[in-house]
Amino acid sequence: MSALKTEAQPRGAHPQAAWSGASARDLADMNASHGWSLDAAELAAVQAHFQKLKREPTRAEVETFAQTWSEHCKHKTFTSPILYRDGKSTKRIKSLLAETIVDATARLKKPWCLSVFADNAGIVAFDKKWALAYKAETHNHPCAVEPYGGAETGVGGVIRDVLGAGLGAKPVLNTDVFCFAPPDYEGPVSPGALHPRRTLTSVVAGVRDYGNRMGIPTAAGGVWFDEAYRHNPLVFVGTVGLIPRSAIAKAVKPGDLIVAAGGRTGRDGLHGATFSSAALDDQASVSAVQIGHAINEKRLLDALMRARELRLYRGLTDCGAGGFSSAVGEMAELSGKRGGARVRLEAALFKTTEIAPWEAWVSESQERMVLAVPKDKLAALADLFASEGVEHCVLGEFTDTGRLEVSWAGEALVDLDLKFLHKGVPRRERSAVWEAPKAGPLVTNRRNERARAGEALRWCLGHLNVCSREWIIRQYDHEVQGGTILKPLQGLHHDGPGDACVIWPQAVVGEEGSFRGFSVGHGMNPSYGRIDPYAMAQAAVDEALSNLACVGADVSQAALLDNFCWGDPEDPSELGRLVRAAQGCRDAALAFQAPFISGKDSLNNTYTDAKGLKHSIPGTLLISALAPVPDVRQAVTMDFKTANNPVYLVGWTSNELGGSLWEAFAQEKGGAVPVVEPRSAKEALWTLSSAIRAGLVMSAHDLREGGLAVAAAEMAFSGEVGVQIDVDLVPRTRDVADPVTILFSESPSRFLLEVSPDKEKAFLKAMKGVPMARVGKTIANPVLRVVGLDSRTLLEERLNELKAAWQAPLPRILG
Amino acid sequence: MKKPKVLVLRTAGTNCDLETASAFKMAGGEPELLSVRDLLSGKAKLFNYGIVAIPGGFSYGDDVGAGRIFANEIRGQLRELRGFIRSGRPVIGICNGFQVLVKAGILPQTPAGDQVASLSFNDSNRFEARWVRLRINLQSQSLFVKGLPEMIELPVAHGEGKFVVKSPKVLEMLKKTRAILMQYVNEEGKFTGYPENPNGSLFNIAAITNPEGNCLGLMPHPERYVTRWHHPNWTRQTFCKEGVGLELFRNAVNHALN
Amino acid sequence: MSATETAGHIVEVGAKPGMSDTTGAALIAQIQSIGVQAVQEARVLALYDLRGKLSAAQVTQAAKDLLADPVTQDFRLESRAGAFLPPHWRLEVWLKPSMTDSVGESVKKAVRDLGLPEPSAVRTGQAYQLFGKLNKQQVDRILERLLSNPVIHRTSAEQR
Repeated sequence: MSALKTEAQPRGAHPQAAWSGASARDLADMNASHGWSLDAAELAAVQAHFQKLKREPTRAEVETFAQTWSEHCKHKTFTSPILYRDGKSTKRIKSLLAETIVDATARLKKPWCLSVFADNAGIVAFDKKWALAYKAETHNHPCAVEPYGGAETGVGGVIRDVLGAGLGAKPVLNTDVFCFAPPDYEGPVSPGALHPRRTLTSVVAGVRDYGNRMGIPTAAGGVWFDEAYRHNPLVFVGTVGLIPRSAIAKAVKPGDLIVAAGGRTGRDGLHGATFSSAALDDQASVSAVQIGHAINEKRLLDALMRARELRLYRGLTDCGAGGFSSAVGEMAELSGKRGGARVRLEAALFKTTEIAPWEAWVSESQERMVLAVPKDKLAALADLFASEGVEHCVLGEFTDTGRLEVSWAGEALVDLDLKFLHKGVPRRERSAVWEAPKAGPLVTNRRNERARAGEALRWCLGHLNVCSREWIIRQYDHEVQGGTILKPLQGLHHDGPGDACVIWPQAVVGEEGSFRGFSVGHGMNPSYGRIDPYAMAQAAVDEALSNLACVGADVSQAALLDNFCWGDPEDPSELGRLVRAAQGCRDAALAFQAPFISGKDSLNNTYTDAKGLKHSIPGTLLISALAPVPDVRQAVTMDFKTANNPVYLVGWTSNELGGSLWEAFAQEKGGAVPVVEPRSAKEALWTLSSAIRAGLVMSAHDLREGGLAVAAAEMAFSGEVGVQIDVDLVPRTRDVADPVTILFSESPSRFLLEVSPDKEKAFLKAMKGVPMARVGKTIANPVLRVVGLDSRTLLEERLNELKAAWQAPLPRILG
Repeated sequence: MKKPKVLVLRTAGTNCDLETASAFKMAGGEPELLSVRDLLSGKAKLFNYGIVAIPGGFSYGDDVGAGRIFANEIRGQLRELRGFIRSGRPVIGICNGFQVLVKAGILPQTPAGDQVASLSFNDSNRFEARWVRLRINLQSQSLFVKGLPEMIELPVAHGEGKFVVKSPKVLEMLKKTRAILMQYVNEEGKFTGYPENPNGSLFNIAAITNPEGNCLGLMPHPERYVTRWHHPNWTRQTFCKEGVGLELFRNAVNHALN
Repeated sequence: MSATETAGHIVEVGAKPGMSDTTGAALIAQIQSIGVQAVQEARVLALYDLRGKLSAAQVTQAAKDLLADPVTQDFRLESRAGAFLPPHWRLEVWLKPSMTDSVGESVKKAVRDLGLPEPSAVRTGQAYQLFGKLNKQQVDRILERLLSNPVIHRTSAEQR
């Protein structure tokens, strides 16, 4: 590669004003014009550091701080002190992450947690020989600007995280969860923004194209529609990988070579980390768009799986946010006692000749990994890479100097103290305030709405947050690798809404006679969060674990991921809501005994319009849950199977319609948000999970949006088996006095089950002590019939009509 | 007992190789995953194998059309594959593998070995991942379908699966030589349109063979239905027998044993 | 590769007449959904800009053996030639020169594997031929709302 075009200035000097004499204002101006997203305290810390060293920082050094200290990489909001005022009490939180999510996991001390919050993904045991690595993250800002490319590179990035877990896990499942504005939006589209329909179809296409080409089944996920996401779509992508337990430990030793493998380095994706941490406005940064090419990552994946077996490297990590600066910086920490790395950056392989050295250092070009390779393994590794068509280069070596040293053709580019780089970020204290919303007048009786129950049901089924997602799901190859035992679409015609998929990774594990698999479930409801983020968090954990239980996973061995997408953390009430949600996570994890093993946050999902008004998304928390399925042959789907079977409802129904679909339909206000009762919820969940795994349940579905009415309808039309429900038999609390509330309440921790008559006695025995009742039976007549409190038929809807209403929306809107 | 060696041919972007190999293993074969480069370098010899399989995936990312680059590679550098097929040994191309066989001019089989058909973009203009019903041509003598019932189910997952031909003569030839092995049908065995025919294929063609029936190209994925628990309705059918996909692989292995 | 390098031989690949062009039909539906009813027919073409030392004959060979499917597609070199089409708008969408062109990279290598000289670069784009009575505002709207993203694409629209 011919010599690179160099900057006009001497490489060491900063092209603009010197740092040593700069005022805070000068620093702020430089920060803005260069897009570093560092705050005043951070700029001052960098300035002080170099004043002590009696020299100017180089451009590359400042960029390194900008990337490494970005919110995206350091999770400053979650790890810095917060002064939290809750009503009358005030509390100083030293680190939100440590005191909530990590604390719960530490207390639970579950033996199947093999690596948590340490590596690129959380790792839990699968069986004696294998482990599962799970990571989920968001790629919101790029998807707002370039949804197809953003989605592709989001998927590529999370896959690489799993590739960089341990010595490399083999991806066996992809998940995708989206929050978009309704695609049938008919209003004006702001300049610089895209129509939500385009965002939706482009993101789906990006997830599809990258995931399908990587040969990873995309078999779990969801979509939530809300007008508030119009300028800030949320795209959560996750990957589960399988890794031999013997390959989890990774290390870096001084003297190991720094090897970069995969794609070449170019100018695409500059400032992705700082871009993702900043708010969007009309002038979103152009070069922050990364370009992906799945075939390169597939080659890399194939090569690494082979190289791992031969132990041709000692450690590896993915090149994600911050590019080489983060990847090498992180691995350097592991090298020897003090850590260290020495890089000769000109040795990298470049896509373009027009790249400045600092750009090469922080570029986020895709499909790259960094490996620590013992010198005597390099030749074999080089041969292996060549045989798979993967390029690589030796960037330098890891040292024990405690310094990160990068040079370009002999000239010093970066020379930083590793400890200051990783631990020197000033922890600024922020203020947070939580005020419980005033409880409005509660609607206590909806008897007058009885006549509208059928209409409400059809409305709920056709609602964008309930309707069939088949239009999306069929674009994803969800069966590649030959292990998708329960598919996302279930039922007689393979088109009903499954609660979760079940994966049996037999082609990878290759063990004859083993039927062990795993499942992932999701939980999310931003509508609850508008009322109380604590309740939202608990409901999300409840939902994710319930989904797992329904398909036959063992929820007593579950693991959780948290993904927070929030607004501006400088806004005390926003931060207060975040604290509430994190507390809800902690308490739910402890109650359900499901530890968190990994998580991510994406802040500043706001949009400043042309008038200067800031719009924020509602605080959105996605909980992902993973659990083993001891025997996939015992898995259960949600479609009713045959007529004349008893139908049971597990759990208590209360007057909890705050944030519910019914509220939106009837234009009610002030409902009580659903509240999880932790102890009883866990007992019921674990007991039900055992019963399902023992083969005592024919069909199972949990109750969420639209409550009992929607769940019963879904089970019935998916199986083309009718059902009759008698609402008077539904176990309910004293505040429930009418059939509409019974049908549409969204109380959590509830399940609808179909039980075979010959297993009923054993089922009842197994479920002793769990609040539940037999509420009806499946019938041959293909209708959903509900008998009211007065013993008269309250509603009777034909299944084919309910299903048609449920299937219509997305094809009608998207074509 | 001796196990026939199976060459599972892969390249950059091949995805379904592990489960295809696993299926052959379950069927009693001894699979090996190798690339064209391995054969050219002499690391392995084609005729040492009893069966060749080209699995599904996105070879070369589907850039420039599914299977085009891999087909060129095989056409240019693996000429002995034609001899392998002539010798009567089983060759199977699944999904992307089918696309490769068609674009390399191997299927439909013609004297000149030119490409006379193609697998074009699905009529729905979308990637289609769904299960389909297939009717097997009972007149075919193909080794792959010995003992199979007339109607089977398998999953498809592709964006470019619409079978088209260069001229009507090609379709005539396929009919005459009983080369059409499987067609998409509905529950009653009738030829219908979308979604039972997921891509709009001419004459609902899902699979074709050479006249001898030992070289098979099919869009559906038999390696994804090798046990009863792979079927989407297995929780509803307690009588379901093991995956019919496995039978296809067994037939190939049994043929290679003789 | 310099961003200012001039274009090489441009190969245009489209569906053969008689072969259904599902992408064209889908495009018309999308155009109607943004309120433009005037498009009667639409054709979608893949564009490959092969730069470097290949002769026209070599580019033709690359087109025949690699870029166009002999059964379903036709190709043409240099679209300027051939005014045999009824009046239409021709829209072109190319990645900006500074953007990595992944498909172009694949094609570059595949051309070399055909035994031809390796191009110095291959850039890919799309051309859309829209037949019907359209004005410039409508065409711009189609480009902006459906076919391109100004963040990563450069576009052109001309009446032919």
